[in-house]
Amino acid sequence: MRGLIQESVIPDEGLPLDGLAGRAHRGPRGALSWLRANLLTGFGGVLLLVFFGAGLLGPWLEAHQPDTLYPLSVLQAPGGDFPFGTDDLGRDLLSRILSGIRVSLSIGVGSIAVSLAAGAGLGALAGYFGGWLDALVMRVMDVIVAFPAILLAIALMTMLGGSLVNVALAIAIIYVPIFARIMRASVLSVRREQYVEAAESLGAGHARILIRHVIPNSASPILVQISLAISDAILIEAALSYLGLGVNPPTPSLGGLLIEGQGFMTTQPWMVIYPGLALTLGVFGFNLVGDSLRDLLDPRQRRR
Amino acid sequence: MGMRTYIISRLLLTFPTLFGISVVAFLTIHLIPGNIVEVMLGTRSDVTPQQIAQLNSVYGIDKPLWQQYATWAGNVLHGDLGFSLRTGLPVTTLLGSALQVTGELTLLAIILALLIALPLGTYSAVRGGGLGDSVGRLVSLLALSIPTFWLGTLLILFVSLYIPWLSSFTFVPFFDNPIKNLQIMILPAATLALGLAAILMRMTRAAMLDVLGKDYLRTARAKGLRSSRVLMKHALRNAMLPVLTIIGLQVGYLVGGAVVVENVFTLPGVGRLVVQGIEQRDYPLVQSIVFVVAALVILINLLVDLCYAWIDPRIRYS
Repeated sequence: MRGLIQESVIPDEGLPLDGLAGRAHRGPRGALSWLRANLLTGFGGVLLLVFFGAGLLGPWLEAHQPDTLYPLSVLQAPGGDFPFGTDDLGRDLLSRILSGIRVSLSIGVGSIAVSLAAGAGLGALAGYFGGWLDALVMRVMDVIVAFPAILLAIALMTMLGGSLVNVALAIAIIYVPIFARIMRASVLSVRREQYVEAAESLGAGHARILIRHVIPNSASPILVQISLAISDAILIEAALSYLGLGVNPPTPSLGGLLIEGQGFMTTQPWMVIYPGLALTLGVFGFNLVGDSLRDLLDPRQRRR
Repeated sequence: MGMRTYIISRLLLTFPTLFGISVVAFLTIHLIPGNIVEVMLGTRSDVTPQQIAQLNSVYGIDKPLWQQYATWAGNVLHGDLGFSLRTGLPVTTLLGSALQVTGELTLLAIILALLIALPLGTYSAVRGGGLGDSVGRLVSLLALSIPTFWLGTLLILFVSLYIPWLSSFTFVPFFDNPIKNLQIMILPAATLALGLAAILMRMTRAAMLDVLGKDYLRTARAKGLRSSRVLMKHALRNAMLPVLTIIGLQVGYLVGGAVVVENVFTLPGVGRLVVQGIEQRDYPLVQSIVFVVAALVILINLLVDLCYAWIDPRIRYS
């Protein structure tokens, strides 16, 4: 499921870092005109806004509690009191989708935040200090990255057991090497810059140089990957739920809702169609925005 | 660096990774609470502590972890992957037949993806820019956003409603009845192919754009060759290299996708085997599958690297 993240196109050393910097000086007005020229990105942004809005405002939008049973309205078709219908236990599907978005988003954002911090940290240390530390860290990363993502997630979930935090942790582990590799490549080129040399000659310590100079200047290649990584993380979580290795019921994620609805798909198709649509559109938003972000940095992928 | 040195150094680099994945596969399964003997006994209470101790020593659980690992790794090196706890069958037997299914599924998906991606990618590169381009980008990103298992579910729903003769999902091996087999495999393969097709289409487009700007193409056109011939013989052939590399890099992604797709369509492949193994807490089976599949993916990537170096000698010098 690492379809979109193309760490492989990033050369080992030397990144086209001026891609972002060249655009930064245009200021907010420039950014706006750029957005206007990129309708698809704008569309992706709107999708993301709706997705985040539904996730964050869910508790106020829900007409019913996601786990309240309405035994008299079991498996009701969409309409009336239940705009998206009800499930086999008579629970309101709309409320469950809203709370599912919340779960999927927290896992997506949470796992990527953790792996970003860990991956960027490890990658920066490896790239900055080099030598045996570099070799050790990167060989461990090679091992993790060698596993097909889903398979590693399956193995980790079997070991950890299905709670929300564990799912996020398993997905975070998958992404650490990807962020570490990108960060390391970027740090390798930045640490040869003159301002780093200047800081060294002024007697700044390693910690200060890393935190004040190297990391901030190496961060953009990794930052543009965040959106694509979150979309991947949400899809992996959904696949894990589907295989029965995701978040334990009754907490529904979007993937969990899909598996609940699967037994009813021929007779009550709304139970698989609405959660699937919510999932696809949310991931689509992250992909549209992420794809444009990556274009900013990777001139080889840029549209002509 | 000569070809031979490159091959040797690339091979040597593979061993630490193989060792690493064997350790990870071993540890994740051994860190699961409860050991094999406890899993086997379940809630049975008619077993004496002596018998438990005996079972522990049969399965080597009374030994330190590193010794257990050494025994397992030694057996794996001799081609012995142990026995499934639930069926008593050798893991190699189970895995062998499952790998055939997964292999066929992956191969069919690659073929389907290429059939979709090459014409579309070429078309959008030649007719580049404007509306067609945006539509291409929109569709490929949308294809990557649809969860494979949901797509599979919807396809099953659609087919069972409108094309009932296609909706038989009892697996038949290819060599028993190729036509019946392909009839069963076509939907799962299409499900798996969609995401790959989207990636390959964009890659084809980028590679074609790159090649179309090259001097030798201008020469070919200047010679008066027909544009279709220039496109097929000169451009597409040269653009294929990066596309094929991407296929190699996506093998892990495809295998992961296959795990999910097999479970949607209940195909008896590796993905189904591993999930069943987890449901039945058949940990020796799961451990071996995780290791073998990861090792296979590494070896395929190694092959792709070597082929690539063979085709394009510049690789070896970088």
